[in-house]
Amino acid sequence: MTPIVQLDDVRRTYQMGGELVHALRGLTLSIQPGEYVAIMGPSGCGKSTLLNLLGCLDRPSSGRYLLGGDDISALNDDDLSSIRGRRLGFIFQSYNLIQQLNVLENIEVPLFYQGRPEEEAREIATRLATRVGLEKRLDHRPFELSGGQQQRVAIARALASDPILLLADEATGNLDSSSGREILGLFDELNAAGKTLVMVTHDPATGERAKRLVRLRDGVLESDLRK
Amino acid sequence: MQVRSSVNASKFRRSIRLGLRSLWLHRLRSLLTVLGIVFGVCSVIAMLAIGEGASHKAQELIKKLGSQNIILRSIKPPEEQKVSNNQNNYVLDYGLKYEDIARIQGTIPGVTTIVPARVMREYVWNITRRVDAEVVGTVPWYPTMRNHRVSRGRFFTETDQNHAENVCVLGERLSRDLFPIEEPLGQTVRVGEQYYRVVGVMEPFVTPDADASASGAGSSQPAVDRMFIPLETAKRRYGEILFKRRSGSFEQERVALHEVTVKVDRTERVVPVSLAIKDLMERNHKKKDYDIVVPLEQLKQAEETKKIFNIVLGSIAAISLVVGGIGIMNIMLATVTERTREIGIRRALGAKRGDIVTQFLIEAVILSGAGGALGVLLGVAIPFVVTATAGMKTIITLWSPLAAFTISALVGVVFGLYPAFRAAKMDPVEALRHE
Ligand SMILES: Nc1ncnc2c1ncn2[C@@H]1O[C@H](COP(=O)(O)OP(=O)(O)OP(=O)(O)O)[C@@H](O)[C@H]1O
Ligand SMILES: [Mg+2]
Repeated sequence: MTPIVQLDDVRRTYQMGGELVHALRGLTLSIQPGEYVAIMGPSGCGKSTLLNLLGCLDRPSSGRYLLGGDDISALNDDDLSSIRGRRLGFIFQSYNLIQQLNVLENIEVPLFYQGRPEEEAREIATRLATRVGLEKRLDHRPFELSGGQQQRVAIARALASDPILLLADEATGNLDSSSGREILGLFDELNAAGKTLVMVTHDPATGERAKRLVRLRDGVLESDLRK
Repeated sequence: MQVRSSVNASKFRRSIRLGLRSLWLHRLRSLLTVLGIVFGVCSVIAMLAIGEGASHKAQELIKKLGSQNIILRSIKPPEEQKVSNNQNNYVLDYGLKYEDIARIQGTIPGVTTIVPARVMREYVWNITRRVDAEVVGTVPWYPTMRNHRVSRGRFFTETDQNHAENVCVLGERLSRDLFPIEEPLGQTVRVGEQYYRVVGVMEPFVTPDADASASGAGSSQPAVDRMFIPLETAKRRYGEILFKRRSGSFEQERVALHEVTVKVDRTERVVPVSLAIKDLMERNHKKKDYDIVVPLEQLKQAEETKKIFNIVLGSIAAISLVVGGIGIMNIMLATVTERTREIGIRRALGAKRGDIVTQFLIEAVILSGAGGALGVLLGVAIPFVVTATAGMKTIITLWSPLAAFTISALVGVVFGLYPAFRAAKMDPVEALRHE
């Protein structure tokens, strides 16, 4: 089976003034369809850098990244945008909803950029909002929702284009424990339904819920455990 | 292809809705941003309308004088005036002569008709009603030449002229003043010892108000109204010497003709003929006791003035639009910075650079377009107010609001481009990290 993610000796170097910062130094990793991966490690070890690369928001300084079998290093900015919109779903620590849009409209954003017809987008958004338990809040704006509810909108939005990979950077980091548990419950459900998930977390308990635990240290793989 | 374009159209529509929503979110700021464009567009349209109205009026007036006409007038030479103040019995002899007419007609080709006129300032009486007026002795073809027609009755004829009949045609104002209720036609008016039968009434002058004289054409517009009698009649009744009582002393003037209108056969020949007449007059009159008015030259001058006025207005428009555009650019740059996070989110969710450019460009164009539209509304409304309150004539040409609106929308494109590209150029990761 083609892996969803295939990283070969990926490096990411930042130029900071005159100095080079090596955020990732030769990372090789492959993730199969249906996997649920937690990435852990001390602050500054390169977790977010890795997630940005996986999310095609950034490109490796060297090495190769195959997403669903396609080499993304050869693609231009427009193609990368298109891939982000169609094949990837992002869930951020601070929810990152668009403030002037309501729940439904936020969920529709990725579909809008794909040029999907309005009615179809509305249908998908309504279904997903219901799926995350927000059917009563469709026309609420983000500031009218709790953190947990906002994060559920974000999850629905990430699911809108039925992506092959969901990426979550500290998705429960801003939430209290009960809301956090709800979100993790949703992740479990999604994974059970076959979605491939990669999440970055600081919380060991959260990491334990994933089926595979990848530890980074100073931009290299420290350990890679499957349960 | 069909499907794709319809998808794009729908996407575009939704982008516009989105832009409107973002701007509505900052209503006050959006309004303040576009004020520059609003006032720029509004003032230019209003000024253009007022200018157009004024110049239209001036041109109408000049045309009324006849663009093929050249008008000569007798004027009292200034140095003679001083002399006459000291010597009571001195007879002033100046102005246009019958020989001048003969010379013009005889030597200058292109001259078709000549209308001579004598003008006497007199009181005109209807029983006990008295009106101060100018009695003009002239020829039967005066109305056609001066584009000043008879509205009721008739002008006097060749026969009246040849027989030196005591008939008269009253100016419109004069007839109203003398005969407020009765029908003037067929009535008799008295001037001095003479009685004249009213055979006609002239139509009113187009622009009977004072500010027309500021344009230079108003000099033909008499301050008092006129009464027209045959030239022959005038010669017989008044002789060659006119007496005027002025501040206690008598003044005697010998003026053959006060006004001569020369008609030229073709418009192109008006200027050469006028030069020839000037030359001729200079040779035959040692003193500058005449004045030559060429309505066509005035028309050209009025057009020139209008052109300059329009250039000035155009510059004001350009400056105000640039200033307005800079205002929009400024706010759009602030908006882009403010919404960096949103841009990052949209990029992560699949927005291409082009999508971001479109989004911000649409907002800029909505701003400038709305400003332009508002300016057009105000700019069209102001001339009506001016006309209603100040009584000035204003003309709104169709192209001016259209051009103003289009150009202000374009200003949005031009000044929105830089902020929009700056938004699109942002690195998604950086943008997402922005607080
Ligand atoms: N844009 C950048 N420019 C320069 N250095 C960067 C940049 N982004 C990240 N780094 C550096 O790369 C390293 C890895 O950063 P990264 O954000 O991936 O850490 P992290 O594991 O996500 O940390 P945390 O757990 O605190 O979020 C850090 O040393 C950081 O300073
Ligand atoms: Mg991080």
